[in-house]
Amino acid sequence: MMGSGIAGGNRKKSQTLRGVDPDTCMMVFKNHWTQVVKILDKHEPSRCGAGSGGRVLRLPPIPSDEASAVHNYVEHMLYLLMEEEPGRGGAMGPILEMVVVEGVMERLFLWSLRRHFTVDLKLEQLRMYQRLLGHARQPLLHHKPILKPLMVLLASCAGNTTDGGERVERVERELVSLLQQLCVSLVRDPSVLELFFHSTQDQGAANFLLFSLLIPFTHRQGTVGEQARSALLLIMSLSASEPRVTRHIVEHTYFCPVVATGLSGLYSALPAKLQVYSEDWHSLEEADWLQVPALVHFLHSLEFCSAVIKVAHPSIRGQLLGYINNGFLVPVLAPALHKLTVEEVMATTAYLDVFFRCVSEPALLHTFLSFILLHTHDHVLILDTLVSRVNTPFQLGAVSLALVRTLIGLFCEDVMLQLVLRYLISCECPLLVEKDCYTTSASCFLLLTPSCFPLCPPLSPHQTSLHPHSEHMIHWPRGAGQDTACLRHGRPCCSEGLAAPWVPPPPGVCEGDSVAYWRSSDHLIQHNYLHYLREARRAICTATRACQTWSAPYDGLRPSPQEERGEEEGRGGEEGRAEGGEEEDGGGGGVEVLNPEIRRPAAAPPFSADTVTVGNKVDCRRVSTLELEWDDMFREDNPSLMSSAVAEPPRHIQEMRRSTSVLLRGGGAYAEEVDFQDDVLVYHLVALRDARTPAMLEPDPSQLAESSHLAKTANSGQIANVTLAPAQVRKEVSGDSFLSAYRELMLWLGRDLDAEPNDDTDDLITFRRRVQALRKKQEEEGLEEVDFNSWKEEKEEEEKEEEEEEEERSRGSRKQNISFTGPLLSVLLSRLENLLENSISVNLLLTGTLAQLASYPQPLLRSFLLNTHTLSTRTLYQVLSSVRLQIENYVSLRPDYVSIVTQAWRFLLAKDQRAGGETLTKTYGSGGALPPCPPMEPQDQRRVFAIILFGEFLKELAALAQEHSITP
Amino acid sequence: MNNNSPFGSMSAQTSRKRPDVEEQSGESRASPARLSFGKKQLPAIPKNATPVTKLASTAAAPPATNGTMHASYGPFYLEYSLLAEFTLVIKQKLPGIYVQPSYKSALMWFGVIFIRHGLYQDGVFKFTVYIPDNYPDGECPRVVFDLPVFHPLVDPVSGELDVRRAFTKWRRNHNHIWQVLMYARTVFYKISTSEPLNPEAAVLYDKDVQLFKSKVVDSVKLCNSHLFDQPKIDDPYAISFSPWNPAVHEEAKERMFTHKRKPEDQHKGVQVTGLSWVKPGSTQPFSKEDTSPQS
Repeated sequence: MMGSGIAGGNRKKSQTLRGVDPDTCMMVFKNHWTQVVKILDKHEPSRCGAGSGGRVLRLPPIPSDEASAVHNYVEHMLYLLMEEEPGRGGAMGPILEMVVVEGVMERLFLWSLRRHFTVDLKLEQLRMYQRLLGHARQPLLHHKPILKPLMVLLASCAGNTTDGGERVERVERELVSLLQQLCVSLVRDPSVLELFFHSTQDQGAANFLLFSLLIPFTHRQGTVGEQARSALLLIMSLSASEPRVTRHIVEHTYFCPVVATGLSGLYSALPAKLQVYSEDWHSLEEADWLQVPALVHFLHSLEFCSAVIKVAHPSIRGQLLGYINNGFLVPVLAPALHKLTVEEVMATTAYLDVFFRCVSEPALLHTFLSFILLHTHDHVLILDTLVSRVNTPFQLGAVSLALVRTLIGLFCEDVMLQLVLRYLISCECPLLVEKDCYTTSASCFLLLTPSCFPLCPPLSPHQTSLHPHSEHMIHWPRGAGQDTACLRHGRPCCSEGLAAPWVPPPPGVCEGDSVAYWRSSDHLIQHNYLHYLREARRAICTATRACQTWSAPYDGLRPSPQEERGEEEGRGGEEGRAEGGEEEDGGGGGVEVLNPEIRRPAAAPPFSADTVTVGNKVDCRRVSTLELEWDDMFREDNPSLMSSAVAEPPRHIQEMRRSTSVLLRGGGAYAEEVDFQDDVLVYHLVALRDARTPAMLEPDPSQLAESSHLAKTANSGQIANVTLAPAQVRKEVSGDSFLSAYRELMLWLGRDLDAEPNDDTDDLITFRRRVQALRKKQEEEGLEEVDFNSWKEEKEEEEKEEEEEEEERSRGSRKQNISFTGPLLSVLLSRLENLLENSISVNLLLTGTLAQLASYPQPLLRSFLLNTHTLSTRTLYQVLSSVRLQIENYVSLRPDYVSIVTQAWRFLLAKDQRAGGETLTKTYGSGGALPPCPPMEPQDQRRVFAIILFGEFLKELAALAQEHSITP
Repeated sequence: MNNNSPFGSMSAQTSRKRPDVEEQSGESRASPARLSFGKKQLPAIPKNATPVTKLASTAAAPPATNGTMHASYGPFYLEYSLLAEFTLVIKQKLPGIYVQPSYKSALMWFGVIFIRHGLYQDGVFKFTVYIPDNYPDGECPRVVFDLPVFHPLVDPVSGELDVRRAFTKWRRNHNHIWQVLMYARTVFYKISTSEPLNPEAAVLYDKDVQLFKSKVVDSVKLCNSHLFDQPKIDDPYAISFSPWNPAVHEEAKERMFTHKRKPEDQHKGVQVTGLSWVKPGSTQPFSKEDTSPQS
């Protein structure tokens, strides 16, 4: 490029200009400008006619020698302008003054227009300003004669970038780069802000062009996108202190809708199904998602949302969060979580899991979490659906469990309240809340170790003779050298006083003056347990610290069980009143439904405004908890508990419930979205266009085929698979599924109305547009009859459902009479009971989740999970006991298992330690060969490893119990 | 704990050890523990493990019984029971009592008691607690003063305090070591003379309080004059006193007063902060009002 060549030359000259008399510079500048003006004037459209007579209409092409002459003069002039020092007291230097007075910049812009404003000329102009702003020694943006042509340039460069191509991309690159430069100077000197707002006023209402121009690049990939996002973030941070910017963004721009619905666009570009290579796979780790460019792209935008929310003014934050909820979570993610095939649901769940692991901004997490915790889809809370899926025997179960575990790992009180604590608060079984001083529960857990599990050999007489004095029974090794150093980590957070726990010295050290209590040859076991203690300590410390922000200690007193009940009743009354407005007999009904004497396992979520849905939501929450649970534990195991019957709700309440839910459905899933859609429709296009990578521009025929296949299956309702919750399946078969309706619509309309490529990226937006068109059409043509018909169908459907629900309910109510500890705990325990049949990865995930729950410091949770007493409800200890029985029975029929288990355990432990790079390998025999893994059939291997895992899990729980007992 | 003695001059030798401990706890972050919660995985299963070949050594390892297994965990139970006891002691904040388990054995605790008023005012008595190794199922822990204080319940030869009269039968779950320490303090404020270990002291207290008082004063003086002696038991964690040395103690004292207790915060690099939008007193999620607005 010529421009850059000259720019390079300028730099060389800069030394020579030092000390040159400013008047000389001014003289040179003036001279150059006179020359330039001569040429400019000559070709000025208005003077062309007068000057050369006759050629009035057609502007002659500009000779190249004249163009390059102007170019060269201008280069010099710019250089002089950049190098000029500001005048005294911040006044303009003479060159700048001349630039301003003569309108140099505007004339130069017009000149490039005159030369047809080609891509090269655009680039030249953009780079000219970049250089000026980057190097000038005096502020330039304060001067309207400079700012205004700049703005016009920006606007005209942004205008026609729709046609792709490499040259346009170059313009965009320079444009965004200049925009970012402007943002930087704006943040540095906000006094220019006012000018920015006024600079383009003559083109319409006051706007903030700089910002508006950046919006289309929000979701762009690559450096252009990154630059645009960082520029936008600069303006966001400016908004925190400049109310004018905030007001403008919130009231006059579509920034928030673009950002939020851009997520929707990007989300729809994600693969609907994941290629899963391993049966053990259950979550998208970073290495996985880095291989999915669409997901990387989505996460970048999510990260940007996070960043905006972090730095922007609260009202921008609020608006953005609202749009994320209403423009992404509710209309896109919720249906995606309820898609028809297991694979799709699994992919969505895995994505959601990744989102939760990637988002760290609390306000954004709040939005995501309240979506999960409070939003209902098809009358079921998302959370309940997710938890119920943990019990699916397929991979979806593991993926859902991984998500639940991520949620648990957030240390969020609200999540834990909904998942577990609310049930424990009102749990009627007396929970042992006081500390377990003598580690009784730890020993109970360890006593469950199966007899086939490899053990520490009993102490030899030689060893027992090593402690002559009883008070010296426990020793810390004297020569606390490096070998024991690692073990003392066991107490990273030790309280004053006891500095280190007792540590078994490794052989070979401290034989001298220290008295080794334990010289077991198989000290590996003890090391192993010390690691569990250390790990437990770490986990408890982390959880304790994290939970310091919580509102209550959950120690059985605060909050009190009465509070929980009281709040439910209070809500009941409120809802009753709210319903009363809608339904004649609703008031009484609400109270009846919430009769406090029927101990409900689940409490209703708080509601915002939707009075119609209130009663129904309450109900569905209760039904869902029970019906989705898939947990027959008390049906078979405890027939005695089933005897107590519970009265059915009165007829009129059932009636009311039905009509409410029909009302809800009749309105269609999209009823509440209408307004929002209108606003955002246009911006969808922009975002979607930007979201598309070049590869995605071609319509994918396979996707077309897939969607038609989907529609077929949706129609025939063949995939009424067991893996989805019963309620959902019913909905989907009845054709009420958003997805199937949408796909059908797509296919139908895709042929008739629209010629756009039918790829996934377009689905959402075209669908919306078509929905609106349809709705309008329906309104015009008056299709109430159709609606009425479907209403009727719904009603029949509803009646059938109602019966089923009642069955469920009566069964559920019986459960309520015994203490109910919530769907999550019971699902986890149910799966744990299946330990021997589960896959290794599921077992690891399951035990990991339970261990994480057990490391929470809340006495209610701790004492429920680590309790070894018999309670009126099923406990972890009971389930573990039953698993142990299974193991013992199983192993008793296979005597060879004992040695296989021992060998496999040694193999696993050594391998694990080697992988962990622990100091233990040193004592184990550094670099030695791994003990061989015993040969086993695959199904045996699964069981053998499950048995080993069981033994290790017991240690883990024992360690947690012990560490809990000494936490102050 | 507050205490009107020149506590800057009291220094357990632990200070020598402390940095050691902290250093290592910092290190523990780096070395991943096995089977951590976050990333728990068994190693991959070897590919060629399918065929079952009967092992020659199948009958070699007889299943051990749970009894022996349990025995091998015994030390852990004892250790943690004692740790739990110690945690309780800390929680009690017994006025004027400091204890510190020995470096060598968790069953031996060193202690010192400061008497702030009453007959034994200004007394600083060092003692050792011996805990039976079958704790908590054994007998009551023993308390032995380094020097036999003149007291009806303290053996004039061995210095042992008669603790058993207060805990005739040591009951697990009911009796705790902090109660023993509390008792050791109480005896100096509320003097009992029945069945004394030191009959002379008992008789004098009952018959001639003035003489008793002067004997107590002598005893307190004697004890305090031996305050700077080497600890009776050679142990790195034994409590030892030294005269006030500004070069050493001033700084330590300064730190004690300025140190803000942020328990364990400095140890971890990664701060996990929990989340809560629950209004205090509520059991509803997102019940806090000042949360980010939702449309």
